[in-house]
Amino acid sequence: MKTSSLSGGAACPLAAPRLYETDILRRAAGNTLRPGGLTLLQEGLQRVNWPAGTRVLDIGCGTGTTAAYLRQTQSLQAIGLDLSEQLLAEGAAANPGLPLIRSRAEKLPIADGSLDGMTCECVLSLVNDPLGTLREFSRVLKDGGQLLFSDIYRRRNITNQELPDNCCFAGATSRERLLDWLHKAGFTVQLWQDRSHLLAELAARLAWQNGSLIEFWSQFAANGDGRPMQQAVKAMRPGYCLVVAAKQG
Amino acid sequence: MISLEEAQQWACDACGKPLVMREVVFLYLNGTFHVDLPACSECDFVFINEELATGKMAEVEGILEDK
Repeated sequence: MKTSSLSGGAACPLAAPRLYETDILRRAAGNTLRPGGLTLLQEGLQRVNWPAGTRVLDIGCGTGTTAAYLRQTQSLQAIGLDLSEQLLAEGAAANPGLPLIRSRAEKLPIADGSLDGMTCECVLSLVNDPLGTLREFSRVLKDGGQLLFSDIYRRRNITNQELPDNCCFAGATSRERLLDWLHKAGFTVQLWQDRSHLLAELAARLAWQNGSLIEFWSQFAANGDGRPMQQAVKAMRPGYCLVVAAKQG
Repeated sequence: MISLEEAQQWACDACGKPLVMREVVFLYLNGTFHVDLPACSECDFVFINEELATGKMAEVEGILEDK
């Protein structure tokens, strides 16, 4: 998926070529590069208190689709942040004047307590230190500021050791641990919804467009064999969730 | 996937018209897929061969059924 924070990518099969910078994912997922496109953002916006003018940062913005949407349809002061120079350049060309920042999610170039809201979709499962990253999100949010979040999670709680070391899905965690991380980072969870069907739709589209999921993964496996990755991902029964959480005052 | 050359070897049993490649939309459990498949140039009846039905389509159905 897209990310602002694919650090340590040398061991990741999605690092070369970077999945989120290829047309393979974009053909299946569209410009948002995540399950459901703008669907979960639109649903989450119904649950947050972001009046016009609210300062919102989109973590892992890719080409800035979410930030542009928030500015154009919600009149928010939205800023995008991503690590990919390629996607940011594409976004700047498509939306001249759209404020986009190049940075990692783990260390934001943003002052303490300066944001009213954050969006982070299909990114946290890719960072090396998800709890530290959530604490970083909490740092830059004002008290009561809200995080609109979606990501892959494990519906079968196997350990990382059961996945190949180089599997990015290893970053997906269980519902319980994710909620625990949010709590430890100083968030109160206001909404948790399972939206696994959106991940299934994306997987089905990837299978359709690439011949099969194994053939999809094979394009990124170091040895050209996508079967271990497919088996490992299937074993964890990946799901997808929508979360809204508020920074505790 | 069925090639154009293979599609041109078939004709619609009902209409007797040759098959042509058409963009077909599959809907299954809220999943939507656009794909080029051979269809009758007269009645638009779509031809799905066994390889596609038991291969890629079966996998996609299984994914969408969350099996």
